[in-house]
Amino acid sequence: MRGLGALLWPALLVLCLWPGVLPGLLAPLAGGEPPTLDTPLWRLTLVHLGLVAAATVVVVALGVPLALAVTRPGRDALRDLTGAVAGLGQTVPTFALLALAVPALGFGWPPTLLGLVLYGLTPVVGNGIAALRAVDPDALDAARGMGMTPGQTLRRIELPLARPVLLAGIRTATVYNVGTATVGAALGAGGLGEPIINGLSQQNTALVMVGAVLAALLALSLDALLGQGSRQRQ
Amino acid sequence: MIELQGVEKRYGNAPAVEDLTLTFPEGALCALLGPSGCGKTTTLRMINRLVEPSGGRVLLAGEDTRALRPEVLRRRIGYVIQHVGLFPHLTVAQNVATVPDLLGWDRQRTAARVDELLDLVGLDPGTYRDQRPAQLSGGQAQRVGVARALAADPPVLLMDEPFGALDPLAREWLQLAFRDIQRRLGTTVVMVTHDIDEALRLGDLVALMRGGRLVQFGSPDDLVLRPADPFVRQFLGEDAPLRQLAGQPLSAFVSPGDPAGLPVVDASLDAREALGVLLREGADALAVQDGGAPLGVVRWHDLRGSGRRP
Amino acid sequence: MLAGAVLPWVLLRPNRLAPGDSVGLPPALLAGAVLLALLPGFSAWRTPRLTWLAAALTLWAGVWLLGNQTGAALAGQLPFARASAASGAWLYLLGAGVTSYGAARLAPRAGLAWLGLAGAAALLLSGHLNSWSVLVEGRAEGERWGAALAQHLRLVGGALGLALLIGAPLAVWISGRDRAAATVLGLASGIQTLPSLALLGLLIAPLSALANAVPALREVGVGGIGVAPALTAMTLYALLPVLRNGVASLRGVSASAVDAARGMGMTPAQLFWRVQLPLALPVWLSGVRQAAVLLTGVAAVAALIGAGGLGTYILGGLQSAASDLILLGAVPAALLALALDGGLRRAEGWLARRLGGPA
Repeated sequence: MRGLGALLWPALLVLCLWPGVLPGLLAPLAGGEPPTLDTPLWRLTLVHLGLVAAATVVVVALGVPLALAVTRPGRDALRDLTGAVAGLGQTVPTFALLALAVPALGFGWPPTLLGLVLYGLTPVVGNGIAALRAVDPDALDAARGMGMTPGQTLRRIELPLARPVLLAGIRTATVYNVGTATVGAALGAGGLGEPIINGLSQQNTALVMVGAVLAALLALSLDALLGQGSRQRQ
Repeated sequence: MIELQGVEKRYGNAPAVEDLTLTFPEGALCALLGPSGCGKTTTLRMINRLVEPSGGRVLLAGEDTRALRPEVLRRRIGYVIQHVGLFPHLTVAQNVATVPDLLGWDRQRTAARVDELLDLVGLDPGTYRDQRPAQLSGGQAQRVGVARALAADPPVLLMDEPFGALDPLAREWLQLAFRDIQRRLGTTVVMVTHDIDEALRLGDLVALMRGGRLVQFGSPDDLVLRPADPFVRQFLGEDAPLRQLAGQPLSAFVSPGDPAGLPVVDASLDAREALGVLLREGADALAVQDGGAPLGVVRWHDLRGSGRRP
Repeated sequence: MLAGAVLPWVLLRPNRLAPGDSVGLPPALLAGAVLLALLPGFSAWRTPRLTWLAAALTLWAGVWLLGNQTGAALAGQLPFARASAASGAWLYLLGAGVTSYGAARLAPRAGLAWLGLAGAAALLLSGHLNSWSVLVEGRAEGERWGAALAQHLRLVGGALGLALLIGAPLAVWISGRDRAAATVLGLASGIQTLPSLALLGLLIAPLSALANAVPALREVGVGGIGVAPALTAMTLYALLPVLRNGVASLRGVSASAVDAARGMGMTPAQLFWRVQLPLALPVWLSGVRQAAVLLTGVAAVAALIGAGGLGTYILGGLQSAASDLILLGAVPAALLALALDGGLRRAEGWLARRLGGPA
């Protein structure tokens, strides 16, 4: 049942991406005329996914080593500071963060990616630190006492124990970033935010709905699929 | 054999252990006893270099422990802690196999060793091999902990309050079972404890520490009957001779004699319980039976000597 | 105290000011800025207790340099000329800000590290920064900017109030009912999964249909775009933190305290008001804080559907490619979120100490 539930949202997403389906459904909102788009829906979706995937890769590549580095013994102050600064990233409003990057980086992908990465780092670093700290100190003492090197302790004990929480952080970051990437359309990054923004400025409700429905389904699909993935691996 | 020669440990200027010289003989079970903060755990952890000594030497079978990489040293020494520290993401078998894996044993040898050890600590391999630590009771978990420490057949085993977190029944059962295993394997054991009864009951030798220094090192009888100073007597308690009788099988005190008219007790009692019966009955001797068959008698002065050990 | 070790890397940049023709710092000031950038790191290494002072000094000096340089760049230029901060200044200020934030967390007294911010505010008020392009724009906007800020606060406050009005009783009700709690929390976290812009967009159709069907609602301002969908979406968003922390905090109340209270003969109502609620409040408040911070962000996005607020400036700035306008919206929005976060955090700490709950 759970497995089927996880496939519900992706199935709906695919259905809505089928040429003509979603615009047809939303036609009544635009006085019977299906909304027209300059870019095919599947392309917008792929651009969106690409943004999110690229950001997630960078976030994992930066965040996981960072969480590991600051949770080594004797670095408590650095760890607290990193946690606090990572939390700061998510306090600043998305739209403000993205827009603040524009004067420095111009429009399009660069400021959006920067925003996505900064946003995604919060849950990954935060969860990473929490997960590594939660590892039973007695298990670590036992591992050391049995003659594991620091590297072996990390690979055999710490990382496997921290993995579920760390994966949950990556999942949260990815799903958040589907939302942040939507706002990125206002900076010209493309993706599913584009029809929403265009629709809003043209007062075309159907166009807005096309983007909104797809962005929502994409977020729900990724959440369900990543959730399923982490459940199976446990 | 483990030799500590003038070992000391300082944190900043504060000494945790001072000028400690001690030899734990081959095959003996030695208890490190003392009030909390006396440096007994630090001493234990200096043997496998989880704590690096600030001075002095530790010799393991005549070899300076500093000559080895700490990890290599630790793989030769079993290590058991109070909270067991089983790895929750691994099965019981994988936990026990930790050190053999680190040493690069092949799969078959490891698997056979795991089953052998689970048998040894009284856990059926078929039942427990694939369980997770979370499924075990406290006593079972500590048995797995002992099996894990013994996996690579270390000549030396270090134990830090190994039975401290168990309920009294499980503790007593495991203490005796462990004592039995240790005798069979001939492993040299250093065990930290603050439980006086445990030290007196299990230890071949007991080292009593106070304030980072060794106060007295000797057999339980030495400490009980010939305390080195008032602290030893006070720490062990005035009832120490009585407590020492606890856990000693009554059969060790039995001598031939005429059981007629004496109160009858079963040989399953320990020496302290038998003393209790003597006091209650106001008798001078007891007739001992083993499942109904007469074994002999135990007299008041046999128990008073206390020095006899099985 | 490796604390500052990460941060000076961010600060270790030469500074250049003014766009179009980029103007660097004169050599003397450049050397000063580099030294100041290294100061917090050095201080964290040698005298960790004084890091807050170094960080404050760095932050203040950054702002002063900005004012000083924009003023210098404008000297002798036409009145239309604008001098804005360029990448070097931004990186410097960002680094100084992060350092101050970190130092504030580690300082003996949390308030100390914000001395730099107070100094910066003093510079702002004294007119030292008046040549900075953002403030030139800000002066031109004046009242409208104030109205946007007020609207932003109204949106956040309104949605938070609504979320508490709905969420607090609901949290109390479901905290004792496992199945209801699972359903409601599942629903709320599902809503949270939706992108904010998508949720705003999705509400347009139903709300405009509602306004068409019930003209009375249209009279009070309900419609597909504007404040109504923004408030609805924001309230829905804020429900999750309010509900989740509410349930967690109420369930986290120690069972023995509840048992003792029952044993002393408290009625269920007395039990709730005298024992459960006071013990749960600090944790619950942290949910309210999360909601407030979240809402500050969503309110900025809500400008896209015409709800007003500081997002209007961000949006306008993006559309006309005027970075000064963007900053006029983004910087206050970010500061507002940080201030709400900091303020409510302090309130949590105070409550926790007062009520003896977990700090």
